[in-house]
Amino acid sequence: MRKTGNSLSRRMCWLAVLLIPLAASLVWLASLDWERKVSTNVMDLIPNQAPAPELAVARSLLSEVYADRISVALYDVSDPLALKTYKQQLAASPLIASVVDLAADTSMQGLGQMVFEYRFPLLFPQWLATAQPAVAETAADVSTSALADYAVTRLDAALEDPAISAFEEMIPEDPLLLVPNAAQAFLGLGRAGQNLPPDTYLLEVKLAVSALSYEGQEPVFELFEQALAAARAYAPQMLAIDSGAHRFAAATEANMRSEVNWLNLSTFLAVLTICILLCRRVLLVLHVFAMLLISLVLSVAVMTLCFERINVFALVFGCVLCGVIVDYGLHAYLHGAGTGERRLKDFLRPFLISCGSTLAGFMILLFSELPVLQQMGAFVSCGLGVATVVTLVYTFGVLSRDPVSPVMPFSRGRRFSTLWMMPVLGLLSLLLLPSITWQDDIRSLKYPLPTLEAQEAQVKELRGADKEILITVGDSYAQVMQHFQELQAWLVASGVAADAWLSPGRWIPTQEEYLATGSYAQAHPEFGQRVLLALAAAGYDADAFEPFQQAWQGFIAQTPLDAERYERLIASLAASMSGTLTGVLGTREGLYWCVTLIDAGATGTQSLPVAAHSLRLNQIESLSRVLSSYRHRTFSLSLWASALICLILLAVFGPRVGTTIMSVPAAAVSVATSGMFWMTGSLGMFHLVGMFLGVCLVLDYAVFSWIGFRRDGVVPFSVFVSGMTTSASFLILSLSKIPSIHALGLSVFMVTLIGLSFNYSFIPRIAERMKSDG
Amino acid sequence: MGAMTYDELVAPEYQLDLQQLEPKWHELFERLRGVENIQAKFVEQRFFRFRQAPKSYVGEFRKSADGAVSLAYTDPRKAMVVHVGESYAYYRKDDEDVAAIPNMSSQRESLGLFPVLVGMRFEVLAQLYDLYGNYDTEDGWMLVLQQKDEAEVDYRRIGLTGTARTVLEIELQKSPKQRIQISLSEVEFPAGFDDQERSLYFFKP
Repeated sequence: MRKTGNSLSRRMCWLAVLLIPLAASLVWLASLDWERKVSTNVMDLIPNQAPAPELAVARSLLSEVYADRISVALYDVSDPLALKTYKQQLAASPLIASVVDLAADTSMQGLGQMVFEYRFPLLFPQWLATAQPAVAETAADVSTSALADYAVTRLDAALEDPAISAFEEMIPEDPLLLVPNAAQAFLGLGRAGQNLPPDTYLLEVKLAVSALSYEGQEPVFELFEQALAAARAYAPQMLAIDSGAHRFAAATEANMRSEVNWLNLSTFLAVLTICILLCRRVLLVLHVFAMLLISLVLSVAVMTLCFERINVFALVFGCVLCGVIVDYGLHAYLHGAGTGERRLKDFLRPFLISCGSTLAGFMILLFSELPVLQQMGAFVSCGLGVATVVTLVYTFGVLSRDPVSPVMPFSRGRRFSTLWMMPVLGLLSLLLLPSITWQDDIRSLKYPLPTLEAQEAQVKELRGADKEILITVGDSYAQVMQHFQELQAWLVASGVAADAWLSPGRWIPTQEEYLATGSYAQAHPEFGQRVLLALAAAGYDADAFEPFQQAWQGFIAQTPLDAERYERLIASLAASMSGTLTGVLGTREGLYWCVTLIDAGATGTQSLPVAAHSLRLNQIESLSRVLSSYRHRTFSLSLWASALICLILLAVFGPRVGTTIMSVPAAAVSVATSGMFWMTGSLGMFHLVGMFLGVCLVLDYAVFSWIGFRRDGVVPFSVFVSGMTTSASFLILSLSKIPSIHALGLSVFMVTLIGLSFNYSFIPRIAERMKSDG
Repeated sequence: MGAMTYDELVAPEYQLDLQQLEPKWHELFERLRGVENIQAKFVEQRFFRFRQAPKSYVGEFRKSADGAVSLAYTDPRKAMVVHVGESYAYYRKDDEDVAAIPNMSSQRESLGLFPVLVGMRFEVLAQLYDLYGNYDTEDGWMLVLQQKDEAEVDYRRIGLTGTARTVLEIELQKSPKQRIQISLSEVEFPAGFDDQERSLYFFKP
C-alpha cells in the first residue's frame, strides 16, 4: 500500500472530519420526536395558502370533520344487548370520541325540531315562491284568500297519500306542510344505515386520535376485538367489520415496510454483485455505502434543523439523493481505474461540473410555492452539497489513493460504434412526446389492498348509495346560499335527477327570499286567519289549527327581518346539526360552507361552474388536483433547472462540446419517456421526478466520459460501473408494488440504461472526431 | 255481540288473563296463529283530530306464513305498499326503491303492531295493555287492549274483531277523534304466494 501524500495520521484527521459531525448528527436525530417532526398526513400536501378558498375549507373539513370516522358493520346481532355492549365497550375507551348507531341516529330529530321551530323564516319563502305562480295561473289576483285556498287544496291532496300519517301530528301546526315538503330534502342527509337487513347494524365511530397515527391503528384494532368478544357473550355468532383510513394506513404501512426491506436488501445485493463482478472488490460496496450513510445522516440532520416539520413525501423523494450519492461515490472511488493514481486534481473538474449543474437544477425547486417541493428541493440540494464534501473527504482524504483495476473491456468504449442510434431514436421520440397523457389520479398511487377494498365495498353497500360530497363556500351564509343557487341551476341544467342529490341549500332560502318573505308577512298579517277560514270551509276543524295561527302571529312579530337575523338563523341551524350531520353547514376562519351530497358519478367528471364556488370534497379529487399542480410545477421547474444546467455546461465547455454533452441526457430522457408511455399508457408525477434524476445521472456519465476520454482516451471505468449499478438498483425498484416507487424506479432505470448506451455510442466517437478536427 | 262497542267491552267482567286463558280463547288464539296465508281487501278509515270526516283508503291485505303483513294501498290512488315484520318495516312508493321506515318513528311503531295483532301474539303487549274479550259464538269475537295507567304507548286502545279463522277489524285509537280503523273483506286463504307476489308485496331492500 502506498502512503505517498496520504499518511495514516492525515487520513485519521480526515476521518475525524467526517465522524465528528456524523456523531453530532446522530445524537441530534436520536433526540427528535419523529412522530411530530415528520408528517405522514397526506392532507399536509395541500398548502396552507391554497389557491382557492374552497380548497382550504376542504382541507379543514377533511381533517377535522370527515377524517378519523370509521364505519363498523355488525352482522348476526341476535340480541340487542350485544349491540349495547359493543357500543359501550367502544364508547368507554379514550381512543373513541363518539359511537353513533346510524339506524337510531337522533341527530335528525335535533335538526327536525330546529327546522320545525323556525319553519316560517326557513321554509315559508320557498312555499310562497311556489304558491304565488301556481295561484296566478288560475286566479286573477294572488290574494291571501287565494293562497289560503291553494294551501287547503294541497293539504287535501296530501291526505290522499297514506304515508302522510308520519306527519299527522304536526299538521295542526303546519297545514301548509312546510316541514313535510322539506323533509324529503333533508331526511336523506342522515338516512345512511336505515335500510339494513334484520340483525344487522351500522355504526359510525369517530376516533379521538388520528387514524393515521399509531394510537389510531393497533390499539383501535385491539379495542374492536375486545368489544366484539364482549358482545359475543350475548350474540355468539356476531361478526364485525370495520373500515376506514386506520385500516388502510396500517396495512399500507406494513406492506410498504416489508417491501422496502426486500427492495433495500435486493438493491444492496445487486450493487454488491455488480461491483464484485466488475471490480472484484467487496470493499468498494462498503465504502460507497459508508459515503451514502454519512451523507444521508448529515443531510437529514440539516433538514430537521432547518424545518419545523417535514412531510414524509419530501423524505421519500430524498431517495433521489441515494442514486446521486452512490453515483458520486463510484465515480470518486473508481477514478483513475486502469490509468494510474486516483488524483483529486483530475477528478475535481468533472465532479464539480456534475455536482454543480445538478445542484443548481434542484435548487430551482426552492422557488416553488408548494411546501413539499420546497422541502424536496432543500433536501436534495443540501444532500448534494453534503455528498460532494463527504465524497471528496472520504475518497481523497480517508482512503488510500490506489486505483481500482478494471476487469471489463467495455471501458475502452469502442464496442458501441452505432453513432446514428442516439440522434435517430432521440428525434423520433421527440415526435411522440406531444401525444403523452398524464395520470394525476391519486388512486393510481394507492397501494393495492384487495381484502380491505372488498371490506370497504361491503360496508359501503350497507350504507346505501355511495355519495360524493360537494362543498359550496362564501364569505357569509348569505353568499353561500347565493353560490348554491348557481350550483343548483347547474345540476338541473346538467340533467342530474332531483333525487340524486341532497342539500340543506335546497330548503334554506337565500337572503333575498328571506327578506322578501318578511316583508310579505308584514304586509299580509291576515294570511293566517284566511287559512283557518279556508280549512273550515273544506271540512276541517278550524279550532284544531289554532297553533298554526299562533305560530304565524309569532312570525309576524319577528318582522321586519334583516341580514343579521338571517346569518344568526342559519348559524343556529348549523349548530343544531350533530352526529352524522356535523359539518353539513358551518363556518371557520371567516369562511362559510354548505355541503351537498350527490350520488357518486352523477355529475361525471364535469368541472363545477366557477360562479358556484363549489368543489367536490372528495379526498381523491382534492389530492389529485394537488398532485396535478405538483406535476405541472415540477415539470416547469425541471425545464428551468434543465435550462440552467445547459447554461452552466455551455459556459464551462463552450457551445460545441456543451451541446454534445447535453444531447446525451436529452436524447435518453426523450426515448425513455416515449418508451414508458408506450409500456404503461400514461405517466405521472413520480415518472417525472425519476426522469429528472435520470437526466442528472446521465449528465454525470456524459461529463465524466467526455473529460475522461479527452484526457485518457477511454471512457472512465466508473461510468460503466455506476451506470450498471444504478440501472440494476432502479430496475429492482421498478418491480415494487408501491406505485410511486415503481414509477420512479422504472423511469430512472429506462433513462440511465438508455443514457448509458447512448453515452458509449456517442461521446467517444464525437470526442475522437473533434480531436482529429483539432 | 254485534251491538257491543269496544268501549263497552272495557269492563272487569270481560278482562282476560293471558296466563290463565279459558280453553275457548286458548283454542281460538292457537287456531288463528295456525292460519298461514291470508289475502283480503281492506278499507282503512283514518279519523284525524283536525278533520270532521274520516279519510278512507282502500287496498289489499296479505299475511304470509312467516307472520309478515303487507298492505298495498290502491285507492284513492295507488300510493304505496308496506311490508311489516316483527323487526322491520319497509315501504315502496310508486316505482321508487324500497326504503325502511326508521325504527324510532311513530309510524314504525304503529305498523309494527300489525303482525303482532294479526298473529295473536299478545305476550309483549300484555305488559303495556290490559286485555278484554268477548267470545259469543265461534264466528264472532271481540278483543280490546286497553292501555295500562302507567304505560307509555302511542295508542291508548286497540280493538280487534274477527272470526275463527281471521281478524276482520283492527282499530288503533289515540283518542275518539284520532284513530285508524282497518276492516278486511273478501278474505281468502291461499296456499302460498308466488314469486311475483312476494316481490311485489313482501319485498326487502
